[in-house]
Amino acid sequence: MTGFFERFRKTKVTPQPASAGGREGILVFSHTSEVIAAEACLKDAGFDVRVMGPPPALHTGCDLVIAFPLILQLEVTQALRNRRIVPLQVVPVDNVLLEPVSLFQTVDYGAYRMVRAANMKLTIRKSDRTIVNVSGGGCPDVPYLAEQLIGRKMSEDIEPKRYGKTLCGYALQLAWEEMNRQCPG
Amino acid sequence: MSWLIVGTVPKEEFPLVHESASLDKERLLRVGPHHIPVARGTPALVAAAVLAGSLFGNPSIDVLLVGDTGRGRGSDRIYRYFQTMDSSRYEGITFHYLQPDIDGHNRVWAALECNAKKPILVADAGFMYVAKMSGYAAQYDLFTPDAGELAFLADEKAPHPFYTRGFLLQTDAVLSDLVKKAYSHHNAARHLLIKGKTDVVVASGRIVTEVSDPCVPELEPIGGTGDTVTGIATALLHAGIEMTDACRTAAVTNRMMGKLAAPDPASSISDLLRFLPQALEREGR
Amino acid sequence: MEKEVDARGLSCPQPVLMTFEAIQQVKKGTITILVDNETSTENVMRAAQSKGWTILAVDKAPNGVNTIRIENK
Repeated sequence: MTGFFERFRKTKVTPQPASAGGREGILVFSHTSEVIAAEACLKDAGFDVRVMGPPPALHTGCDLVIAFPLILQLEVTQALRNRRIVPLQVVPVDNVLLEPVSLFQTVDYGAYRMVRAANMKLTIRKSDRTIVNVSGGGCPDVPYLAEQLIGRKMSEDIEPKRYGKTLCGYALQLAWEEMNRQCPG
Repeated sequence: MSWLIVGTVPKEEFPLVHESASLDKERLLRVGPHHIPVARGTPALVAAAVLAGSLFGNPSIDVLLVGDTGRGRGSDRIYRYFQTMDSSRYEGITFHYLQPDIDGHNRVWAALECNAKKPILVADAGFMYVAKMSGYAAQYDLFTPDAGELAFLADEKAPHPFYTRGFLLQTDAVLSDLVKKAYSHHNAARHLLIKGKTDVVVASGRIVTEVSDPCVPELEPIGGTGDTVTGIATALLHAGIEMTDACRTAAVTNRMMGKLAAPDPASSISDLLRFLPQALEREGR
Repeated sequence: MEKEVDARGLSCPQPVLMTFEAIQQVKKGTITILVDNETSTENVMRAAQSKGWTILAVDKAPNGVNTIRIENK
């Protein structure tokens, strides 16, 4: 058993290509769960969008917004409308937005591996990629996510974003994606 | 006087309950007519507080719980209920897994301000996040962050650990620097019990104790092991033990519980909790 | 009923645990607790008061041993 940080990877989120001045807009929703659904919808439709933190004036608590190239506003809102997803606001952004964490920490426990993203930790049994533990976090969906995921294999269609509704849930999704990258099926 | 633990249960349909909690023979948490499995989260914190409290003549503790799986509706009900209840009868309150909502926090805070004397205030998990977000961190008596959450407290720009800036999350970030940053921006409680490879107790910005033994690396991936430290600390504070002593003892006891249980990363917190009374009775001898 | 608890040389939480054990045994009477540091003294006093016991006296000897007498009538 080893208990030291084995991998350290940092990826920078790169800005969108400049277009018509490169201005970005943000889509604001009433709940983080809607952001997660909207992101999936827009990425499926081929839009290169990013989830980010809202400007301070829009903070209410557990917040995510979707940043998109403002010039594509019509197509973006149409894609969402097709899936019956309606943002609370669509606003241009002038401030720097908060970036989600993009730093992961990995700990190898011999037969198990743990990946941490922000405040969330995902642990699997390496031999069969069974999820054995979910720890960390503080938002109420974390214990619920743990119940849904523990005992199931990463090969199953059970990504955290299916069940997560908060930033902690989203952080677990990032841990999941990193674990998938490190331990592909 | 009694103590209150406020948090959530991962079943959306679980009703709001404000009752005494104890452990039944099957080691389920008993709250009124409800029996709640102890797997992680607030049930794990409460179970640890009950088990530890039993040794100090406090085999039950009051809880304010509701079902919430992340939509925040349950947490909102708790925030509204808190405004109507009499919190003055509690010597201390531990706030745990709740939806980080600034408006909700401020409802709770307004209610607490109405008391002639504030109870001892402990915050962990989502409520710790929102206490910081709301600008009230310095008004709390104890936060129990893990190392990553300490980086969040140290980042004056981050409203949630999800947004903690990378340079603060580096593995070589010096803990004392993070503590200093957190206090300089008034984003830490009067005391911190920082849970990590070494547990660190901080009082008013000064590191007073570090606990590294016993070392049980397998505790980190096990869901609930951070919650039980906070639960043990809660029980010790309820028993009248001084804050830094309570934090140090909680840290050592949690580790000893882990050592006695000899877990692996796939273990469940309920496997460890059965060793809590033994761990506590050994500590200090 | 009277009882003495010697918690010298023991650290948290033992002095409080031993005090609570004595409180449960004695129920009504006087208990004398010996500790050897200020934090334990405060912990024991608070613990006793939380159970409704009264602090009769706290004697602090030059050798660092504090004697706490508590009572429940």
